Amino acid sequence: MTDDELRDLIRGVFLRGDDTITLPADLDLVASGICDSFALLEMAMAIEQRNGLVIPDSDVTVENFGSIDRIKAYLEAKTR
Amino acid sequence: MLGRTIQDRLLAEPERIASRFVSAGEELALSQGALCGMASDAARRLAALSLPPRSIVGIAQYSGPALHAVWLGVLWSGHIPAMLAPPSPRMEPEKYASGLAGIIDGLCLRALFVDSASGAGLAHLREVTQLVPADGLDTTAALFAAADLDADEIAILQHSSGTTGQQKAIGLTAAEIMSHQSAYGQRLALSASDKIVSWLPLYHDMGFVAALLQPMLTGIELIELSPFEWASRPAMLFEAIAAHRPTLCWMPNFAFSLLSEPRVLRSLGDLDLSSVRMWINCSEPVMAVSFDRFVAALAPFGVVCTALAASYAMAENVFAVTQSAPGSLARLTVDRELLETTGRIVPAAPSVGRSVELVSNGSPLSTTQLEVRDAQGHGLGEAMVGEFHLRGDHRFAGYHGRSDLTASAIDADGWYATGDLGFVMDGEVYVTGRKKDLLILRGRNYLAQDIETAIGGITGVRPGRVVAFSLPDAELGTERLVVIAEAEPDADGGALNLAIRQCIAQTFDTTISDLRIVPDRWLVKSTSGKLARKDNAAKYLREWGN
Repeated sequence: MTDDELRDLIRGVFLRGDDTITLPADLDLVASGICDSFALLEMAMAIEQRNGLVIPDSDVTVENFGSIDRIKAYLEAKTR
Repeated sequence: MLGRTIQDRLLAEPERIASRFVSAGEELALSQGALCGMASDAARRLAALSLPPRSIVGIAQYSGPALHAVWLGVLWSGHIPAMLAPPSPRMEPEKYASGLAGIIDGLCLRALFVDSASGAGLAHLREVTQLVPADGLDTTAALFAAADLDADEIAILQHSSGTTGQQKAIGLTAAEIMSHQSAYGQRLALSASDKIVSWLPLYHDMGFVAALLQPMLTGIELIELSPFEWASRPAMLFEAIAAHRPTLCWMPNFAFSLLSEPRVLRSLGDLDLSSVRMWINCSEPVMAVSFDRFVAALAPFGVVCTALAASYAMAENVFAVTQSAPGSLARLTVDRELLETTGRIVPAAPSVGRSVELVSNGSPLSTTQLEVRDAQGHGLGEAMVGEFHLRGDHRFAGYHGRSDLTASAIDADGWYATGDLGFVMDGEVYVTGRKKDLLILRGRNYLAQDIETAIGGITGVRPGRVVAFSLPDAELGTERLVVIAEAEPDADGGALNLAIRQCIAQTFDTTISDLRIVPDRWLVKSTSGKLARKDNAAKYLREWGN
């Protein structure tokens, strides 16, 4: 997924579609209050559905899903 | 009395398992003897400081054996333990430390136990209190004889959660704690075959009573999960249940919804959860829909609707005011409009939009009297909504060091005005709302005013032009936080949005569900010139829907 696709997904899942917030790729989504750790599971689920992947629960951590950069790195490693 | 009672019980069976701690896929079993050793070591570390008798000692540690041992050690040393929240990973360390400094000052904490993780970044607090390390407690330390304590002396302090705003600490005596346990145990029909499983933090009254005091007083085994680990992988609760066969589990309503989600359930395999005889919903409004989803989703794993239970509880009554008895949880479908407009409870046939299904919290404990009163203080009969007032054998004596607050909360006849609204029907207590501007988000309490004050200090927000309120969210099974802030004309809306979200996450460790940055004069004022949360919530719903 591209940065912008991930941004759209985050805005849709957590920000009620609000596109006024710029979401830098390195923004820590949990520390910045965009979502909390419970919500990372929700995001992982949305990414799974969109990409036809299965993401084990144990992979849904702040380290893997805590920013756009980290999600991209995780998905790249996963699909490599 | 309290410390001695627990010590005698632990010493009677040193080999018996007190608690099992599950973390990072590993399990650590702590025997009663080892707990005695660790608690004795903690008590000696404190005794070495030669604090004045009956000093208040804070405990800000992460979950695990040392947290249990330190709490007990403080009690045995003759001091007063006060459980405090450890830093959450997303809170800004400076904000956490400054909140803690406020608590140290407010409660005159003479010492503070920290572990190596929670104490990182707190070294400067040495200037205001004595920091005591909680690491490396010796399981084989010689016994520290528990201090004798009068039954009517304050034994422990329960501190309201959160680290900012008005702090209220509740002092509880040994007599109150024992009386509560006796009545609560009876209502739950506790027996030696029970076991408790919990992911709850111990600085919150539900976790503290259900998963620390209760096991300590009764010898019921506890299986404890780290709250932080559970939040990132909720299914670990089910794995622990299948492995250890516990019988009792306390959780706030949101957890019933979360644990029913397909994403949590998909990796369960064929786990057997039938050992839990009571799933007790407590600490936030009980939603019928959350219970229904929980049972529907988990029936294949052995969860039955007769195991659902609920309790209305507060630290001001040690914990439980009410509790449903095993296997008997009442529900009531009532006319929504009459409830909302007149406060009258009229049973109705289920009808989308016109009726609402309410879940009982059970009847009051045998030790507690509950009255429903109208706004003028007159007692109301059944089926009328009013404010709950309570008194009884274990109602708290007052807020620590705040006689002003105590005087306004407890009347001359000993009735405590809870600020919660609800009614009684056929002896069952139903909670429908609250008078105070309290937001209960995932079982944790926040004052709307604290959130508004924090946001009001952000550059770009018009001073004093912020409202925070919560709306029930049936999907999440909790309330969601809505914030509306008026921006200065030259403010960058996107940057301000992020700054506000960040402030709330790092100050309160919670997340805004919907944030609306609005222009000057959007917010509605009341006739007295104050921003009215209720009116602004109504305007929000009109403009943007729920």
